[in-house]
Amino acid sequence: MNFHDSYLEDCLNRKIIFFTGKGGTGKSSLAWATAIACQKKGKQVTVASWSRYSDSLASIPTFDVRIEWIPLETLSAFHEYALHLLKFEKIYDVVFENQILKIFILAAPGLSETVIAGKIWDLWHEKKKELIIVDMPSSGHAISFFQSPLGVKKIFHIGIVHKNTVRICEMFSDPETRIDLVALAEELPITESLELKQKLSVLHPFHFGFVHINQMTPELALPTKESLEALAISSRRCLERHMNHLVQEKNLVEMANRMELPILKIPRLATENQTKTVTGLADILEKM
Amino acid sequence: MNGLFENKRVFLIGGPGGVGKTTVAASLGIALAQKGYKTIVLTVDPAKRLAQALGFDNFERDIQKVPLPSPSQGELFASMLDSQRYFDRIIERFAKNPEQCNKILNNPIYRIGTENLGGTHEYAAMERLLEFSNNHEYEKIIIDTPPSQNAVELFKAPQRLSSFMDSSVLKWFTGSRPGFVKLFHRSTRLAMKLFERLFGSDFLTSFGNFLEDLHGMHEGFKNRNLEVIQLLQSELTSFLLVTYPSEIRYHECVSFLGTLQERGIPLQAIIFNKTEQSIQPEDLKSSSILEYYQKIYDIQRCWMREFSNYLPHTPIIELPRLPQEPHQLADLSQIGEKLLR
Repeated sequence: MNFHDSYLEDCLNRKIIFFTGKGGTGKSSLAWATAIACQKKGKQVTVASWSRYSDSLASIPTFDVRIEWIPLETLSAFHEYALHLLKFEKIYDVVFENQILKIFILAAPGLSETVIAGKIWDLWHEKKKELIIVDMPSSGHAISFFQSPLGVKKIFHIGIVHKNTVRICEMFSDPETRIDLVALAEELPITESLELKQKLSVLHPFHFGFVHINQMTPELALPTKESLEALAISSRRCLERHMNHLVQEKNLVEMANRMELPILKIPRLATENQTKTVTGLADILEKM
Repeated sequence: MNGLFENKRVFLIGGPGGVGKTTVAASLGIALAQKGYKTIVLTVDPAKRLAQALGFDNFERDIQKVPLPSPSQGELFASMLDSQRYFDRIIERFAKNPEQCNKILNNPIYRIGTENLGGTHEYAAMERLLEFSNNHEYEKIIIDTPPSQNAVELFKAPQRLSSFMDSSVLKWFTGSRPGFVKLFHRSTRLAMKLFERLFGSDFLTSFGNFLEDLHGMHEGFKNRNLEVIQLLQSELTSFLLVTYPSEIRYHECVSFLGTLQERGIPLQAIIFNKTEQSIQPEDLKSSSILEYYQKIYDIQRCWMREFSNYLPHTPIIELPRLPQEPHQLADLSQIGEKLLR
């Protein structure tokens, strides 16, 4: 699939978009903002996330229907999965009364990630879900997640889990699947994104989408030369910091260009709370 | 020097990803060393230039001596955690003999597990902390905690691993593997059936073998876990939360504090990193930029008040946003001075 001209247009033509990147870069905010922007265009959007703070975001009022939010949690995903196999809740309860099993599910290598990936596959497979946005955990965990079906394939040679991993890999490399990277205009998040893209490229033939550089210093009007001299020292220091940040960010954006992906510069918003941030970001993304 | 730092030995620097934990940890390390203490900073994943400032140009040595910006009685060391390698060392330590050790290290389940398993970094960090703490050479130990989706992971990881290694898990698996003729509980039989359908029977065999290899190591893990808990609850340990004054960070902080309380670990201070400074009111009209920064300042103050209403007795330290990302030892030393004041 070729890139569509605009960000929003591209999003509307996908079936699933994964938001990944370093912790604290604003993946959840951008994932939700994208969901809102797409929903405004009439898409049926589902957001799936690990983050526990998403529930406060799920209640953001949007146009018609609320965006559906699916929390991704290992034990409940496993429960669903096993129920599907066992058919009877009672049998499941007998089996899973067992504490050891719970420990096993949480601690067995790659199992937790594969179970979650299976859950995402189920959502992806559902016809009525038009667009699924996945708010991923930070880089390291994201790599484990995308790696898990490969690792699990090596450990589980047969069985249902093995079969599922094949399907999951298909979903990852589907042309209607997109991977977006979220970073800040700071050294560590940018280098981490560069590495992340490299590491992920080795795992699956992913279709990478956009690099979001979040919380960029906005380019607003500076004071005139005459008024500059009249400013207090503290205000001048603020301007100096501002200018410095602009220069640094320019360099970092250049570095991000090495990813050879379209870059979205997302400004840092002066908003009081998360709801306002997300709705503000949605307005910005809508025009991108 | 601030009593918060004088009377403590171990400093855990925690907080959500991207708030500048590593910078704070390095700065505190420099400041304490400048005060004359023999100090070690354990960091997990520093930015490249910060790593260079700390002397990690080559990653060969485990512990590096860091040159201080000005002469001092104290010394600063920095150590970077390589979780995978460190985990291997833990296995080496707890294994009963070299044979058992090799068997585990070469097991694909172990390899994939330690690469992928959530909590590996956290476990390795806590384990390493214990090592430094038991080494009485160091007067001050600072640990930059791994970035987690959820900071709670730090405390849960050792516990989870310990319960995974629990001998009852072992017995359950090794005793109920296909081919073993034993009397099972009904639930075990059903669970096994389910597992076979899900993972295939050969996996159960190799997993059982893996657990068998781990046999006898559980005590070691359990004892270490208890030691970690003791160290975290000790009066000499201090937990410092680095965060940012905003709504989302506020909610995170509240939930995190709940976890600390459950485990009997007190919070020593909140450090707000990268805060904005106020603008002279008469300057606000001269540009939209200054207005913008003032608005951010006001919002930050509002969330700082929420934090201090929630934690009226916890000291708050503020570190203003710098014109540049601090990468030089001198910058870090300045931040460190502010922390100790």
